[in-house]
Amino acid sequence: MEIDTSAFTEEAYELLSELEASLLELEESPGDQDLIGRVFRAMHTIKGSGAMFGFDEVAEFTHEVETVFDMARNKTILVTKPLIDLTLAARDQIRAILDAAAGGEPADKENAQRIIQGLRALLPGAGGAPAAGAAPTSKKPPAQASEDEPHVYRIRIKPSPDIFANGTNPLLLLSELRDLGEECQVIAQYDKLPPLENLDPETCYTSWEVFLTTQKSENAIRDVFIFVDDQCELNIRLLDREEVLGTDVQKIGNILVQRGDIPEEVLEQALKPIGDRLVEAGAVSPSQVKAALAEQNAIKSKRDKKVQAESAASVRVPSEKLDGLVDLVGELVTVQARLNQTASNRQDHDLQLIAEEVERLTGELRDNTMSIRMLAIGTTFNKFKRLVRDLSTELGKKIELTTEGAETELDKTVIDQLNDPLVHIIRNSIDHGIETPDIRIKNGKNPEGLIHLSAIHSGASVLIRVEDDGKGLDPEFLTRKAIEKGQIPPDSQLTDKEAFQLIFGAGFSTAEKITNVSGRGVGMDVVRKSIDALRGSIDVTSVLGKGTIITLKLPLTLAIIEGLLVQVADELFVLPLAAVEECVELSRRDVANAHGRHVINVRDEIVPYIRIRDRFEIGGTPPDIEQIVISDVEGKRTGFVVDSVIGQHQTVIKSLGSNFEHSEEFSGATILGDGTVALILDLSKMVRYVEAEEDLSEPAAA
Amino acid sequence: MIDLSVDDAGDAGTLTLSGGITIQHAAQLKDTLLEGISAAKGLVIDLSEVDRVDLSAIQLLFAAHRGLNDKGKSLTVAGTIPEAWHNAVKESGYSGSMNADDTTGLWTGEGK
Amino acid sequence: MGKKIMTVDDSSSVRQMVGLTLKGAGYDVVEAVDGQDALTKLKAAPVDMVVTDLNMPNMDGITLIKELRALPNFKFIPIVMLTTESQAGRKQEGKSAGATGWIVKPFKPPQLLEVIKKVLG
Repeated sequence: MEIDTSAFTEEAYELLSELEASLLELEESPGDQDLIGRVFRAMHTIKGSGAMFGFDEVAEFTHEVETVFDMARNKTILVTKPLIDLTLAARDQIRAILDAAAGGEPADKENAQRIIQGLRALLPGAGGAPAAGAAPTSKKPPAQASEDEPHVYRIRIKPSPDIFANGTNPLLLLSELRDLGEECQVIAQYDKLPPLENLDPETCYTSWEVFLTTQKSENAIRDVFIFVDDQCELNIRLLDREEVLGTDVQKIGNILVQRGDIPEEVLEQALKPIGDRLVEAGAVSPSQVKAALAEQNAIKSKRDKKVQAESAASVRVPSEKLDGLVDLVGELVTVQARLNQTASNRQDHDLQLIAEEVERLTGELRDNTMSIRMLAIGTTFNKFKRLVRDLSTELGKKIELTTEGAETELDKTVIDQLNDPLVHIIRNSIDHGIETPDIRIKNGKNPEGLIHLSAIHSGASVLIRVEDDGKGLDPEFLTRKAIEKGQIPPDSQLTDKEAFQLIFGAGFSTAEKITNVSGRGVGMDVVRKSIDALRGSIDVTSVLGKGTIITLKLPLTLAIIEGLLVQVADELFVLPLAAVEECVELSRRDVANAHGRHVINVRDEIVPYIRIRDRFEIGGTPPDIEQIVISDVEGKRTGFVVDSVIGQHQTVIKSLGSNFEHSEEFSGATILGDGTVALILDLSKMVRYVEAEEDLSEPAAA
Repeated sequence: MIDLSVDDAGDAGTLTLSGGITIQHAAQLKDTLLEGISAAKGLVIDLSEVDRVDLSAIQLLFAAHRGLNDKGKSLTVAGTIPEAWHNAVKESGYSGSMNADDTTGLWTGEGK
Repeated sequence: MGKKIMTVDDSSSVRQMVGLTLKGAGYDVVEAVDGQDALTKLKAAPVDMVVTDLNMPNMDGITLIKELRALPNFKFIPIVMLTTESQAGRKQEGKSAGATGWIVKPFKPPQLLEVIKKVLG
């Protein structure tokens, strides 16, 4: 029978997350019996269902861990840090085994052994003697498949008279015994059977003498009687070699016949090949078999229906299916926009009404579809508890991680891609941000550092903030370092904000010594790339000696963008609204005042700008008064000059085909209501390209 | 199901058994057997519709058969003996338990 | 005709596991969530065998076994209890109450079927 194991693995992964959370909580309050119980139950369930679904390695390994936790539950041992450490390691090991079963890297068996040995060392009286927990999971000893000649056993079975009373059917025991061997002869002893008048119909009067030829051990025979060992006198004797020597099994039978113990036909019956006996025992006609098969099929389909009904409460769907749905909804939104436009062009009132209705429905459909893909960020947050715990221990720091807004939802794709950048940021906080306890005490801080992780909705974006109370960033130091590395010109004067952005430069590491936690020169530049890819932005604020706040601003979803639609000549572009701060006018006079430099004074702040017309070599004459869309690009205010701003536009993103692969300045395209295509600008990339080409990075501070 | 009918002359009681004759019905089977044996000179037993037999039934019928033999009454079988019966006899080790001159075919443990 | 087995367990996953295994092997399966539920359902429609957990709310497995053994219809049917290793003592308690056998959790489908075959045939 095939059993679908995916239900188990999914459940197991969930349990492992719970387990981890419980263990971390338990570390805070090691005496909490509820938590110990939770850990134990999680282990127990993983072990139990693991064994049931054929994950023997999981079951065996988990059994060892469970045994130790059972002792903690019974207060035989105390919950200590080593126990938590080992159990966390065990949890990772179980995960590795599951991953391996799903086609991942094979799990490190030696690691499993190390964990088990470590756990056993925690048991009372552990001094090399095998711990109590080392008992095998299986109730049966491993079958001793001896290569020897088959043995002949004489088995005397005398059931207690009341053996029927607990539902035991002795005939089944006998037939099981028969199945053990090649040859088996059962002889009933019915001399105790009273006359019918005196016979208690619910009493067993029969005992047996069985001759069994088998390669199995005596234990295997005793196992047959495992449920009735207290209700059966069992006498098993291996017949002496001499009794068998030089004879074969049939001879034994013959001896019995000669002794008059059994009639000859019984012997013949007993000596029939097992195949024949099974056919006889089958006692069914082909038509009955056919009927049984039909019934089985009926049961199967009934079962399938039942399983479907049972799982109807919540549905697990592969995320590709959702992606497909989102794509279709995207198409629909586009068509709907065209419908709107057509309806209003034709001045057809009825058509407009329909278009409005379609618009409403499309909107709801879009929101619903998006919400299906929305996940709470909490699970991601929980992962970091472990990270913080492990890294801070490794570095000899004390750090508490607090979280806020775990229930904040955002698109699954965004969450998936957010994990790595957040890991980098948190690692940096732990490694470079939070000081060691002695330094913290010296600086009058609480020896325990704090990392606060929060998520909140802000319009169509989500703000994720990683806040630490560490030593903060030193803008002067950052600037000096960047100059040393030749990443910025030697005479650069950077604002604090700009200096902070330097940490995202490729190969920029401020760590004075390289640790294995971070500071390998990769990290924050990768973070920026990932956040760019998510069409998000990063903001850094820091107060030297007080701490650092890194804020990620991310779109709720990647499938739809809130954009600002702008026009240059006949070309339409979309700027991500999340980055847009304001729009100001650019007159000819402003241009003249700047003496050829691409900067504009906005309320006493000098803002550099990029002319989209020039950038993309769009012909035509610009209007007298152009528009500058001022955007926040990596902490720098940068303007983008366009002919006119058409307005806000919610739009479905179409990825550009491979023909546009080289056009990194566009993050995608969108189709407008009238069928025209507008390109979506990737502002960060544009700025970087322009900087690289024109070395525009000399903004004069105000 | 257990059903006993005794003809008016009291020559033969016919015991018709069907379905499962198991421990569940052992008490009833015993009473019916006793009734049939005392009421008639011979017992006719029809097992052809029996599909399940356990040790309790084997014990009862064996005791009944032996009792009839001892009393000089006859036991005859009506209809075919089902495989379920033969298998139970074989499995319980009661094969060949009755005297060699038994002709009912109940205790050979061999079907056709 | 397939034999009918009742599985009694407060854990739906165990019930499902036992149920699927037994149905796959051609048995009819009825489910009950605890001893009380089992007793009510069994009084209405008997079965050929009962597989019951021991620790359950409302009525535990041991009580269920005792109650069943007192009823004529269930005096002799096989009753198998599901135990865990930590409940070794309860094995004997269950046996005394009238259980036919036991299965140690965790178990795999073949082990379950082995036990069913052992006590039900």
